[in-house]
Amino acid sequence: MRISDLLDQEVVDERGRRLGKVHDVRLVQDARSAEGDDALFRVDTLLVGRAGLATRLGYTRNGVRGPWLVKLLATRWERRAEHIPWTAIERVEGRLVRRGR
Amino acid sequence: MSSIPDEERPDDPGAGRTVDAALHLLDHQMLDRDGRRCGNVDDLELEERDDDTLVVVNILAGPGVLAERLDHPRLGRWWRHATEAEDTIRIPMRDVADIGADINLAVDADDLATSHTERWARERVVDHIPGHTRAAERGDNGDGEEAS
Repeated sequence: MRISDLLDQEVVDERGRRLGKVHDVRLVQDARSAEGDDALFRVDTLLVGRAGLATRLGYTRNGVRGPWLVKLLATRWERRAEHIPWTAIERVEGRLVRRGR
Repeated sequence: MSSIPDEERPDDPGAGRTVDAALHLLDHQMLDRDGRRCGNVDDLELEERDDDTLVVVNILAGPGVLAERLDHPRLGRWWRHATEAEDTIRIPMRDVADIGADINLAVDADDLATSHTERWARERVVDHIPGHTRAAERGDNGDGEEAS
């Protein structure tokens, strides 16, 4: 499986309602293991919906500078993005389904 | 380890470092341990573990990989055939030393096949154009400045 298999995929809820497309996939690198090995990045969250595009622009990240108006708008828009934990996602016949809520 | 400014690094909240795959990894330039360019990140290979977590195990690179990502697998196959390139170049995520504006690898570019297309174009095309000179032959360091 590749990360491109997740990007741009439609996510639906259990009733089949469309929640939007995956605009980005947040990866988390956990703490080093007891053996001191670097932990691999794991898929943590799917950024879903048109508002997820604001995250993709990069202006919402700490330390990223830019025109203040663009940063303000992107930050507000980004708040409306769906951040769906990977643990809440089930893959059913190639579709990404969000469980419960 | 690298000269990436702090403000360009991905967030680092608490114990786990956080990066967004499309924003911080895909299409970013990879640099080897000596800072030499060695291709771009074209895709990421995931592996499902027993506890249902999905982990990134390899960076995938190569024109064929990019073509597949952009939904043009036939173009990818043609390109690989035309340039005699490897199918898919896999770089273990454990070889990633740092993620910033560029992706710094802890390996040598010569050990990777990511520069195959550039080498192929240089040897098969550029070297046959009348008047060409290699940067090394004219004492150019590649930035338009003469090496001292």
